[in-house]
Amino acid sequence: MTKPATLTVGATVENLARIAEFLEKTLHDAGCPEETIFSVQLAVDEAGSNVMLYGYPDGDAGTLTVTCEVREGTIRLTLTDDGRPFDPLTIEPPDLDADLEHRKIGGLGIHFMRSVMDDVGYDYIDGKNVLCMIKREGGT
Amino acid sequence: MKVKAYLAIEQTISTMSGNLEINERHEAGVAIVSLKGRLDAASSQEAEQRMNSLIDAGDRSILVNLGDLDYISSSGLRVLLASLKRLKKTGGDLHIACPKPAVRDVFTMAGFHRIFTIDDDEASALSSFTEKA
Repeated sequence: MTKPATLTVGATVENLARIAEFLEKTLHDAGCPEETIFSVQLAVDEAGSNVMLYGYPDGDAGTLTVTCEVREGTIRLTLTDDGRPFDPLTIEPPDLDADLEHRKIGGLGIHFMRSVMDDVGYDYIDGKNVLCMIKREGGT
Repeated sequence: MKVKAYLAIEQTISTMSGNLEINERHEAGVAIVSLKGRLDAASSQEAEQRMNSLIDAGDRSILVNLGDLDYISSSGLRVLLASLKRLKKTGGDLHIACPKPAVRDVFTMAGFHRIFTIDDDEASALSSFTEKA
C-alpha cells in the first residue's frame, strides 16, 4: 500500500464498529494476517473508546480521524481528535495479579494498546490529540 | 435500535443492541447468556443491564457463552467482572464458555483467565456448576 487510508467519524461509541470494519478492509487488502488485524482493531478500539467516552465531557462530540498505513511490513496508525487534551500514556498500568475483590478495570485499555503494538506515542498538536501506534511485522 | 423477541417454546429472550445480540435461557438452574457479535463500549451498557436484571431476579449461577462473540474490549470485560463481583458477594458464580481464540487471548492479556472459570464447551461449563454445588 502506498497511500494511507483515512476514516473520519463522529466521536461516539456507535461508530466503533465502523472503525473496526475500516481497519478490517484496509489491513486485509494489505495482506495482513487475521491475528494482526484483531490486535490492531483492539488497540484502536480502546484508544477510540477513551476519546468517545471521556474526550467530550460537556457533550457535543467532535470527530475522530483514523489513518492507517501499511508499508514494508509496518502498520502505522494515527488517531486524531479535537476532544480535551488527554495523554493515555499517563494512565497507571493495572495490577494484573490482583484477586477478584481488588481487581479494577481502569488502565486495561492502555495495557492492551501497549501489549499488542510495538510503539505507542502521544502528542497534542494545534488543539488536537494525536496518538500514533506502530506494529511491525514479526513484532509484538 | 433495539429489537425484542420472546420465543415461548425455547423460553429464550433475545435482544439486539448495536452489533451485539444477547440470548438468554435457563437450564438445570443455570442462566445461560449467549453473546453474539461485538461486546464493546457501544454494547456493554445493554449487556450490563441484562446481567443486572438476571442477578436482581435472583439468578446466582450464570454461564456466559461466548461461542459467537467475535470481539471483546476492556468495556466488555468490565461488565463480566462487575457481574462476577456481584454474584460472588451473594454466594453465586459466573462461568465463561466457548471463547474464540482471539477473545480468549484478550482474557489472558487482562489476567482474567486467573479470575474466571473458562470452559471450551457449554456442557463442561454447566457441569462445573453442579460439581461445585
